Amino acid sequence: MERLGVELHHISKSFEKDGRPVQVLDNLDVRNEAGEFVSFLGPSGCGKTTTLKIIGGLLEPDGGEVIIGNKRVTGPGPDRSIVFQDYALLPWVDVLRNVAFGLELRGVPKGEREEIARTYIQKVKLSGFEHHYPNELSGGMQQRVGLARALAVNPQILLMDEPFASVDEQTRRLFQSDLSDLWQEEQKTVIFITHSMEEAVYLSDRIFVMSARPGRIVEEFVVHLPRPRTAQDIRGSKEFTESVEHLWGVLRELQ
Amino acid sequence: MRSRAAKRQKVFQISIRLFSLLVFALIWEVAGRAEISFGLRPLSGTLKALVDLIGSGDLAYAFLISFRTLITGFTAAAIFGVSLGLIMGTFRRIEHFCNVYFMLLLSMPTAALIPLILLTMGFGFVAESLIVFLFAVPIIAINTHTGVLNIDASLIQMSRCFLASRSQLFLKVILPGSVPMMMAGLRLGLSRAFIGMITAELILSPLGLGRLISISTSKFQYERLFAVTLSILIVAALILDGMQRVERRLLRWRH
Amino acid sequence: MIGSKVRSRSRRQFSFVPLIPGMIAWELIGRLHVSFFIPPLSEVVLVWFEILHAGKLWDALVISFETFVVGFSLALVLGLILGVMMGRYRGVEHFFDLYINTFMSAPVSALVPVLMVLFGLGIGTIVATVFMFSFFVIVVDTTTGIKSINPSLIQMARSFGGSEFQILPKVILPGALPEILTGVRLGAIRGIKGMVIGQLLIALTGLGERLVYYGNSFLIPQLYAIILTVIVFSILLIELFNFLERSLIHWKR
Repeated sequence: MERLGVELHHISKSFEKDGRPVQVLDNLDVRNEAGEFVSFLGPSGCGKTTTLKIIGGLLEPDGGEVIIGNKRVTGPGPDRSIVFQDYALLPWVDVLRNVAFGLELRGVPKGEREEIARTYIQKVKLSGFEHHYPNELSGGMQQRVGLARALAVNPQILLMDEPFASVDEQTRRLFQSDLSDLWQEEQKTVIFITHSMEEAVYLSDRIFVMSARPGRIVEEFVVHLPRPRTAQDIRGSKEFTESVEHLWGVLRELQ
Repeated sequence: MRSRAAKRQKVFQISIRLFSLLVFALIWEVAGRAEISFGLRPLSGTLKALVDLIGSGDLAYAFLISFRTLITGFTAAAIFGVSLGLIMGTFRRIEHFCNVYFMLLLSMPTAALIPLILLTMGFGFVAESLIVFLFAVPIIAINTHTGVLNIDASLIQMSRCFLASRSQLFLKVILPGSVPMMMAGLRLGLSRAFIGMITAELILSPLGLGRLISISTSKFQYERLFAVTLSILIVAALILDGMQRVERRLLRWRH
Repeated sequence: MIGSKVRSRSRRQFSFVPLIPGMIAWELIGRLHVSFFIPPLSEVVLVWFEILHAGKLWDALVISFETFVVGFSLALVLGLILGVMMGRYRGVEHFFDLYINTFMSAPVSALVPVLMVLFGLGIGTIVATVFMFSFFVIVVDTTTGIKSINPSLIQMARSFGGSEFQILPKVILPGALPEILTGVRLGAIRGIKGMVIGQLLIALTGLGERLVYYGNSFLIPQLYAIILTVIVFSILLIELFNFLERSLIHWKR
């Protein structure tokens, strides 16, 4: 499969709040290589999610453009899927149908799409929960469903919007290492939004640190940790700790 | 452990309710025998009249006649109300236009229209069905509309991200997502339809239950009057409760 | 797009502007003599002033308002008391909930003949009808409001040594106020409906009597004038309760 990178050219975006325009993104210029795991790190309100939605084609930038594989993004496309912060699962259908939903919309026949869905349910370690409804699952499990659904349509680019924001620390760590393994296996281009420094360092090849209002890139940080990464090897390493410390330094400067 | 406490709670609840039924039955009986009010009849007499009414088939016949109009008017209201609610939820301009009319219909005393309807259409099956329709339709339409508006915005974004077409969005997200509010609207609509039916039959009553009530009153057969009224309340309560049970069954995914 | 407007509007805000084309259409249909039963709006308005001058309408309005106020006030006071008791004490709740839930959605209009037998053919029956229509929703919403109060607020008040009599007015009632006010508003709306239904069925006093009278006399514009009066009357009352609700729970939002 052809691998695609993402280029952001001079993206700016403002919203109206209480009748006054608020500049959310200011002249964002970023390149993401094909197959790379890139994180956007920043405090809340820095426009990370807005950036992701612009890449996903759900929002239109006021200025600038997003280029994917030499083509300008004008809306959502089959090359990208999003993992949503609030999971965005259909509460009225079970896990299997939720995972197959993207394929269902694309008209894949029932038997085939359920087979694909089962494969991905297994990959996110939810086998046995095929016929549970989202309300019967914990937050972490719901987000695994969201990830499986995003992967099931086999996109080149995976956009993840603070996927672990509302799960507890224990679940979060387990999920992070599973995601790391999955990325190793699937070789997708990933754009990952987070406000956790440890998470960004552990998962990413490169990290863009953003400032708030207006959102700008204040630092581009390359993570020099070897791959494949396992939690035991990485988290204790000097390189890991130093990277986190460095990022904290940058973020602290922003206050 | 928890189920044991829940069971004890249930037993407590049921015994209190039975006790309360007993107390009220006693009060009714004693008050009726003491002739606190000229028209009040004791429970025993009422129950005897109820048995007679059931035995003679008069009650069943009256219910049959009344329910014919109820079902006709309510079915029309359900079809019309749900369609209109969905249309209002989907097209903004129609929503803007219709909203105020439905709010008016919802909060105005619909009964005020009854003399006009009787005047223009005469009394009969059609006029009464129309009255039932008018009582039921606003809440059905408004609830369905609210159901559409309350659908989680992130589900719609998610569907767009997976490239749902307009019709897919409607059939797979908006329609199932608005079912809970729609069902509640139908239940409330039926409750109002009952009120409309009874009011119409009482105002000019050559039909059904209203006729039975009027005849009983004019012949001073107050036991029969109490019995018919009691049966209406019980039947309505049972039907509405049944609807609620079906609703809960169908909406198990919500817990 | 469908998604963008979600949650952007509160449910009570709507525009009255769309009424204008409806009114114009009514006037036109009336003037074209489409049906004997649809007089033009302007004629209805003129007739309204006529019957207002004749005094009958004013009397009907006053009587209607009085019966509503009496029946609704009774429902309000008793409904609040019972609702609070049911919200606070399990035993009380289960003692009454069967009846309250039944009457909450039952066709209360079926009770009017019974009320007539018990209270006679007069104002008493209409007051009782208003009461029966508005009482139950006030009880249900008050109970719900009180049960939905965050228990840690009550524990907090207890931990400062608050007694039940202090907690009730200082924590419980304010906490339940939004739901209570919703119940009061819905109770008022139902009460007006009950008033019209009661007056229609007894046909002795108030706006309901006027409706029956003009209907039986084939005075179509007059009938429309009364219907419009009923609608305006109820909208004004509802707006009054909306205003109360908004000004009393200013802290919410």
